[in-house]
Amino acid sequence: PCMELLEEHHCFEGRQQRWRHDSAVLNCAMTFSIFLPPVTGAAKPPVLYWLSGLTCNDENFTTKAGAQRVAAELGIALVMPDTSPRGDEVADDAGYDLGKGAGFYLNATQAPWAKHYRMYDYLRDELPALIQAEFAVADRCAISGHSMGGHGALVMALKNPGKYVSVSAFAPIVNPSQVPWGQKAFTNYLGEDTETWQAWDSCALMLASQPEQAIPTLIDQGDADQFLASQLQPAVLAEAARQKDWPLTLRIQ
Amino acid sequence: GLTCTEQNFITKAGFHQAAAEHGLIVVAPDTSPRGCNIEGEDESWDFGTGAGFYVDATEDPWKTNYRMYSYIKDELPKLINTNFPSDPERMSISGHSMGGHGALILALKNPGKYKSVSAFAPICNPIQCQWGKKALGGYLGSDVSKWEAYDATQLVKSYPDSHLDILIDQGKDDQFLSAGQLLPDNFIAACTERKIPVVFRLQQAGYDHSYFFIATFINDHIKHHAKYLNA
Repeated sequence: PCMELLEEHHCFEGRQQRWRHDSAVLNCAMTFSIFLPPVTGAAKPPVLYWLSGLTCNDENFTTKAGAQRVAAELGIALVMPDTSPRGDEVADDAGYDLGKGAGFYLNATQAPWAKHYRMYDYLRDELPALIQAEFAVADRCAISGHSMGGHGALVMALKNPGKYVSVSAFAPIVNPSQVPWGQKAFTNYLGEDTETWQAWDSCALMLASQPEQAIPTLIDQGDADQFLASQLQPAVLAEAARQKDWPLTLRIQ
Repeated sequence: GLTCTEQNFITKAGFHQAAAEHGLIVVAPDTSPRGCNIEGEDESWDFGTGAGFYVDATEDPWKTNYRMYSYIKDELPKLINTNFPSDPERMSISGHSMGGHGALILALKNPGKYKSVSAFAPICNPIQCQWGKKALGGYLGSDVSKWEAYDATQLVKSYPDSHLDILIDQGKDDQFLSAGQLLPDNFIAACTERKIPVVFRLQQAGYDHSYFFIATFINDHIKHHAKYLNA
């Protein structure tokens, strides 16, 4: 695959890079950022995928979260994809919560979105294959994310048992089919039939899961978060986890 | 540094953890006055808006507003001490690039005011580099002798005592180092001659001028200041 290095910085003895590549799945050029920890011995580092929230791209987490320090210490590579397909040919909406920067990590079925909005396939198949092929990393991976990206991380993990060793999220949208952000996105991307929404809803997915599929799950949620009551509602996922005996640690900060 | 507001350091440097741990208040001012309606203030990224150079301008049309030196030295600390539970007797100063220059000159021009000073990739000798010549010339006029009062390398030559512990980190692959804008060797030589204690770390592993460089070493700087502020 044709990849272009856009930026590289030394950081905590590792390297912080930004790349651009042509995505066959999304039908457009995509950027991603990757932190490669300092090389210590022969073992290749495992990968933590980080999914960002509404309005973000691959740079927000890279510049603001301060993750590189501990990733370098622990010998973990960080991969930060973008939050939606990009480019003039890609459909968009005036709202910050639909279209570019708001891909919701699903495969859209409705026009005009279906042509490009396949972030689920991108994250499940195309991006990991690219990362494995182009970087000296192990195939062991975990996934995390914030807000819409927290929804993404949970959905990726729940829909792909065995793919990730662990999952975590910051202020995730856990029950998108029941809150305004999710309902707007799903109506547009998936259509009016709310049955089709369940395949992209963490609470529904967890309630339908098998015990042997459970993986350690950590969620942090700020209690002064303006979106807590109307959009996030972690208690609903906690209840699903209780019913399924899912190893969820939910910390209200 | 150049082009920044106070937000760059706040969002990108990752200093909160160490500051909280050591019990330090961190104040991040802006890098110039804003919206002054001066002709030409937004023309260059290295002069005018976002490029105050921490001097008190004497030339028109800058002299009314471009007084970042007095702002950092007097007005801002007074504001902070009046409105926040800060100890007015214990403060230190740090900065990056143009802000590194600012931190060094404020410390050197005010012996005893700061307990310690540190800098990331500072502009050490502005009278000798392109950035400095443009800024100092524009703010202070063409008489170079007026510039020396805002040049760390010059100031250290006449610094009255040796009680100033300076820490400087400099990325080895910093494009502005190789372009001759930073000139740390001149500053280190002057410090050595005056026996001012300076720890100068030329960071080997290819660090550049970015906030990734700052984030990597900010903990060391905070610990450096905490040593004196919490003594």
